Amino acid sequence: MANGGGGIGARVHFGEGKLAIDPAKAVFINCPFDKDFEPAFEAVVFSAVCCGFTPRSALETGNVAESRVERIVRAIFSSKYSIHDLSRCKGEGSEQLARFNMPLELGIAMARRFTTTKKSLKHDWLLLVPEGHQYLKFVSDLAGFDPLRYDGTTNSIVPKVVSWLATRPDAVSTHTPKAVLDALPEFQKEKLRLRKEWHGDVPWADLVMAAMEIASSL
Amino acid sequence: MDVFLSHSAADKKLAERLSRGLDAHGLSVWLDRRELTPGSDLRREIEEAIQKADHILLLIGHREPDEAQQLTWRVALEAVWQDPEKRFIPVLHHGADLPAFVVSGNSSREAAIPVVRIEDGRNLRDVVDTIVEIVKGEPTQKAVFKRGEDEVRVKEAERSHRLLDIRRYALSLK
Repeated sequence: MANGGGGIGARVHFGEGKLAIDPAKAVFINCPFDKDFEPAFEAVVFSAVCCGFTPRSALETGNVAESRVERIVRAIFSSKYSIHDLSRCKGEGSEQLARFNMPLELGIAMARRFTTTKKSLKHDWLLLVPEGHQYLKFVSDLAGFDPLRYDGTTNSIVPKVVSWLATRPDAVSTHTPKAVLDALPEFQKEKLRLRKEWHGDVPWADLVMAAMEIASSL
Repeated sequence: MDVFLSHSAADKKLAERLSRGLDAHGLSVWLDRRELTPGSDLRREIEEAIQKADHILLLIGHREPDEAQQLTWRVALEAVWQDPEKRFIPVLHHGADLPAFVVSGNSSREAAIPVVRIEDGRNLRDVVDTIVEIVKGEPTQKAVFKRGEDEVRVKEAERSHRLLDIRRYALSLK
C-alpha cells in the first residue's frame, strides 16, 4: 500500500519533502470530482502522466492546517500548466445551483500567468468545455480564449488533452491517444482495486503512482 | 497543397526564405504571413490549411515556441493522428532538439522521421533540396537527412528517467 505505512506523522504530501514537484512538469487539474465526471477525470489524470507530467489536484494534500483554497493556490502556483473543465457551471438539483469552484480556480491560474515575465516560466492553461456549453453567458470575460470542446466521453477528451500537453515545450510524450485510451481501462481497474484497499477515497500519491506504473509499460 | 509551414515569430525571415526556395521548385506552400488577413479567425484558418496540406514543415529553433506556433503544433498533431498519410517534416536549426510530439505523430508508422537540420542559415539550398526530395518521395543521401531513431531514443530515455523519478518518490512513501 503506497504512502500508507508508518502512521500519520510519516506521511509525505505532494509538493513537500520527498514529493517535491518540478513545476515545469506539473499540471494542475481543475475538473469536477463527482461520480458522473469520474471517467473523464481519470482520463485527464492518466493522459497527463502518459505525457510525462505530474498531475496535481485539490485532492493531493490533506494538510488541515491550511485552508482548501490556500492549498489550491499553492498547487497552482507551483505548476507551470493547468487544465480546467467548466462542465459543472450550470444549474443543478432542485435549487438549480451552479458550482463556481472551477471558474475561481481558472482565475487563479490566469493570475499565475502574470507573476513572471520569463517566457519559459509563464503559466499555460487549457480550458475544456462540453459541446454546446454556454460558458460565455456566465463568464463573458473568457471571450476570445477559444476553449477546446469535447462530447463528454473519454474518447473525445483524451485526444484533446494529449495533443495539448504533448505540444507543450516540457512534454516528453511519445504516445498517441489510441495508446492512452487502450491503457486507460487498466488504470481505472487499478483505481477500483485501490479504492477497496483504502475503503474509500484513494490518496492522490497512490493514484498517481498507479498511473505511472501503467504508463511506464506503454 | 504540398506544404504547411509552421514557424515561430522569431523565425519569420528564415521561414520566408525557405518558403521562397520551395516555391521555386514548384511546391505550393502555406505561410501565415502570405495567407492570413487582418481580423481573420486564426485558429480556423490554420485548421483548414493543415487539413489541406500533405506535409507539415515544422521549423524549430532553440527558443521555446511561441503561442501561435504551439497552436499550429497542436492542430497539426491532431491532423496527423486522423490522417496517416499526412507527414511531419521537422527542420531544426540553432541546435534545436526534436520535440516529443513529432515522435507521437509518427509512432504508428515504421518509417523513420525525416529530420532536416539547418547547419548554416545563410545557405538554404541543400535544405530546400532535401525538403523537395522528401515531399516528392525521392529522398537521397546528399543532404542533411537523419533517421529519427536517434532522436526517439533520446526522448525515450528522458521519459524513462522522469518515470523512474516519480516512481521513486511514490515508493519512498511505502
